[in-house]
Amino acid sequence: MSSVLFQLLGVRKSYGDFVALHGLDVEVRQGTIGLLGPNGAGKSTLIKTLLGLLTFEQGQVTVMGHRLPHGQRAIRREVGYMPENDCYLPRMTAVEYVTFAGRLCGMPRRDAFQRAHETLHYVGLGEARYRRLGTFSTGMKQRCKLAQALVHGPRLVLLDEPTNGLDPEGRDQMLDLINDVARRDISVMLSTHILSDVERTCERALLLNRGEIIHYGSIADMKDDRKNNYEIQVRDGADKLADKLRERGATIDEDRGAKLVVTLPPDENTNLILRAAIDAEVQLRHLVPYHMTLETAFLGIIKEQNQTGGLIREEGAPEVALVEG
Amino acid sequence: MSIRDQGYTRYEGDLTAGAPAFWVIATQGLSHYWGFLRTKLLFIVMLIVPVLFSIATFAEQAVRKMFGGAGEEQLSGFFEYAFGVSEIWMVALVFAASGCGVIAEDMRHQTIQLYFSKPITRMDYVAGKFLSLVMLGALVSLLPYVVVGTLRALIFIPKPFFTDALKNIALLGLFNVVLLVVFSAMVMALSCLTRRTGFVVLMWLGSLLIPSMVSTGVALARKGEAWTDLISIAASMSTTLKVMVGYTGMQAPGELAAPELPEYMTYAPWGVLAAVVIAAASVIYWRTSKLEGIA
Repeated sequence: MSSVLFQLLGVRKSYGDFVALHGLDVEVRQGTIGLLGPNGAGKSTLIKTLLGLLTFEQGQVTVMGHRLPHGQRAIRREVGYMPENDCYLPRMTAVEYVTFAGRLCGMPRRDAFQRAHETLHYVGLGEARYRRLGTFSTGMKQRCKLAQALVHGPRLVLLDEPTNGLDPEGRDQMLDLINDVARRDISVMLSTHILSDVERTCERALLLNRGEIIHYGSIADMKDDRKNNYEIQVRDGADKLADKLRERGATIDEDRGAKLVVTLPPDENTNLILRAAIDAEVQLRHLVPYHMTLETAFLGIIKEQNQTGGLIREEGAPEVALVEG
Repeated sequence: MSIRDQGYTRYEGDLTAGAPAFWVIATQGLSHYWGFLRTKLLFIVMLIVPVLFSIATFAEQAVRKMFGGAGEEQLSGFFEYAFGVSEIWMVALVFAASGCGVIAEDMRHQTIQLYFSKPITRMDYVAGKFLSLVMLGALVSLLPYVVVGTLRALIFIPKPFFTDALKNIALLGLFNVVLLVVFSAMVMALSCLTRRTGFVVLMWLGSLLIPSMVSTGVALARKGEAWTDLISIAASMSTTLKVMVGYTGMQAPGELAAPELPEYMTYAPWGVLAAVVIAAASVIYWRTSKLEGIA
């Protein structure tokens, strides 16, 4: 069985004059993938396109080996989708809801009923399975939505903001559950605004901005790309030092008065900072490697793309097929 | 111990072995409507209709005997007409009580996202929802029809007009189907227009009652001219039944026979019903063609 989850070739989708997806090209392999991007980046449009809910004007989409639009039903049999919004009738019990979802996927009634119980136990709702969904807390509703996405045994689950509205404990449980799902050979694609959730659950990230893929690769590489970063603190003359660093090809990522975060050119090291400090006649008080979080890496990539207006190409990274959109 | 601890496994069964998606949606819909206490109460209250009409069947038989066999050779069609009209309002009432949220609730609760993330087509969704309404209406129309129809057939076996009686019973069954199709299409179309079930109920009752009142008013002003029935959907429907069972209407005092319906009234009410169904189908198509955007 192919390890490719989905492949997009020149996929373009627009709503009237607004282009939501600008000719996306990417091949995503199985594993856990975080789908990141600011509001309006095209994340929901991409998920709906993968499910065959939206038609696209140009390009080619293949999901789990089935090509859209003809393979729409086959795709939905192999994919589980957990929508962001509540999508249930409040009078239904959890077991009715999950059974119904299973039957819609084509499971016989008896199997769907049995699997509904198993899946609800799995997500930790075993005791509450005969309660009406209208009486559930937000965390329980989210887990119930995950159960309906898993009931038919998909190979890929698309999770849209699964930790939305959860308290810290509920969020922790949900992320544990997602990690557990991923360990059971089910690929997960997690769309969220909460970068730490992606950092905790995903191996790779797909970054979208203004309908373009601006990065796809492992999260470790994403942070590593920006590893030549240093945090500097000076007594006075931070502006002079910043100018000298720029003259030497460094980039000033953050300028917070006496503190600077600097990215050095790939072949340079801290000697460049020391030479710049001598030239600027400033006293260095603090010079340490800057540890990137996913958030800072993400913001850096977005900022860079907004400045250049183009894509950031990742070279040499495994499992990446990033082509200009 | 949760299943997670026991080891969760992927479902390996056949995902094409279950019931067709439209049937799953239809049965789930019916079970949802039946879950309302008001549906059950209404169903119990409406049981009075077949009881009354069963009594009326016995009474009709007794009256025939009382008059020494007068009228033994023919049926007037009045019984079937009256029964059919009562069914119109029973179905209207049960739809108002429980069926108006058929699409509106899915839009309000965003259940459409659930449906369309599963391997179903828009046609499955529309057919399933439509069938769920038909089955809800059948609870209060077909069931009494079967009871009363069977009783009448059994009672009239020895009568010379037994064949006519059977024909009328069959026509009443056909009328039931027409009634359920037209009303289900109307309710579904109205439910496509808003997310608020309450508004759908108002629109549904309004679409039946207001034209009926206008039709009555115009009929009074025009001295009961037959075409005035075409203003109202309920009246158009009852006129089709009149035509089907051969009941032309009540005799006016002092008249020897009931007035004949003008010839155009044998097909014009069907035209009205067909126009209503076409309009409803257009609205349903318009809404469902946009469902993917919602999902």
